[in-house]
Amino acid sequence: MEKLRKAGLLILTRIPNMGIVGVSQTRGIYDVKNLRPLSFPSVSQVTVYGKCKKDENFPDTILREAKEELGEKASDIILPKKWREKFNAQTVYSYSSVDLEIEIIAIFIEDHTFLQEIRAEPSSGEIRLIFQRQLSSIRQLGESDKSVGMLHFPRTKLGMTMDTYTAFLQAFEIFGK
Amino acid sequence: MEKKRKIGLLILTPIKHMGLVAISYTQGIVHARNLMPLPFPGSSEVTLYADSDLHDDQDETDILIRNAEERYGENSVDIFFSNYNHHLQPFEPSVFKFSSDSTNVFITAKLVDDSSLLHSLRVPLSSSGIRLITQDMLCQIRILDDHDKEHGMMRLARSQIGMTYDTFKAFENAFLFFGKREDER
Repeated sequence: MEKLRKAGLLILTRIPNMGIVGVSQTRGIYDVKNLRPLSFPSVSQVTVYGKCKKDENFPDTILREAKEELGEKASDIILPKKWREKFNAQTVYSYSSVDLEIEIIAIFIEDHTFLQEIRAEPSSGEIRLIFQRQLSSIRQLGESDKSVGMLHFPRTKLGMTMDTYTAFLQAFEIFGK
Repeated sequence: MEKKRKIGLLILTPIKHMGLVAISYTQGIVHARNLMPLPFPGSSEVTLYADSDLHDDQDETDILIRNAEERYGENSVDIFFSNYNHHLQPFEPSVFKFSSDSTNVFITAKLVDDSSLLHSLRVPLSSSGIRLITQDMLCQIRILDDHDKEHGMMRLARSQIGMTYDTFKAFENAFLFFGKREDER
């Protein structure tokens, strides 16, 4: 069986008079393309996250997923040529087992105006800006939360899976100072 | 004070396994440009909703086209307005109409047979996405008023849907109008 590989990108940026935020993409409730409910509805994810296609490396997956999930215009700003060097990309979560490999990379973009250009897919929940101080009140989710996710909780409460949570924690450690 | 006019368009489309659904725009938490908090965060709105001064010489179609570009991107304009033009505005049926000293509100609805229109829509940071609402869901809607302007649906479970009274009436009337037509097919 082919190993499942997943790649993610977490963007941090500075909002004037507010501080540094992590840009989170909240999962939607219903997949309008495949016409079925989404797993982990309303759960906070890193900015871009997806499965690698065959023969695709992690940065290639991030580029493709960024175009799909954030729109062409935003992804061109966020991921120009040599984006990893330009934005000091750091691995903030990695996992490897016999059948699964995950890598999440974080970058820091000083100019927050790319946020205006984000155009999320219709199945997406929302783009949410998360502060480091909010991490202590995050609800961590496991497999048993797959079907209901955060649906029964108010929007003021955020929930993440362990890999996403770790990625946010590490990214704020690196870029948050 | 200049009298305002508010214009809305609610799009309905049939979806496999769900039946007729109305496409609702969910109000986001912050504005994409200035990152200021938005009123009624998390509340559901009709697909397009915009306002202008009453004596603004822009016609209704132009106002809604501008709103479609802001809410769903440029590609959405052709999808939403394929049968509309500036001289012959088939703004029928009226699903909500209200007039007061300060505001005129008019909401119309349109049935789009091909639900693949949903694939082309792209929402900005100012939105909490699209929600598909069926007629059955209307009995569970929470009606919001001016007291809810600051917190909107933020303190309620995400599974709950909330909207203002005019939006609710627009959904209700649109389902009454188009739901029957779907049954007759």
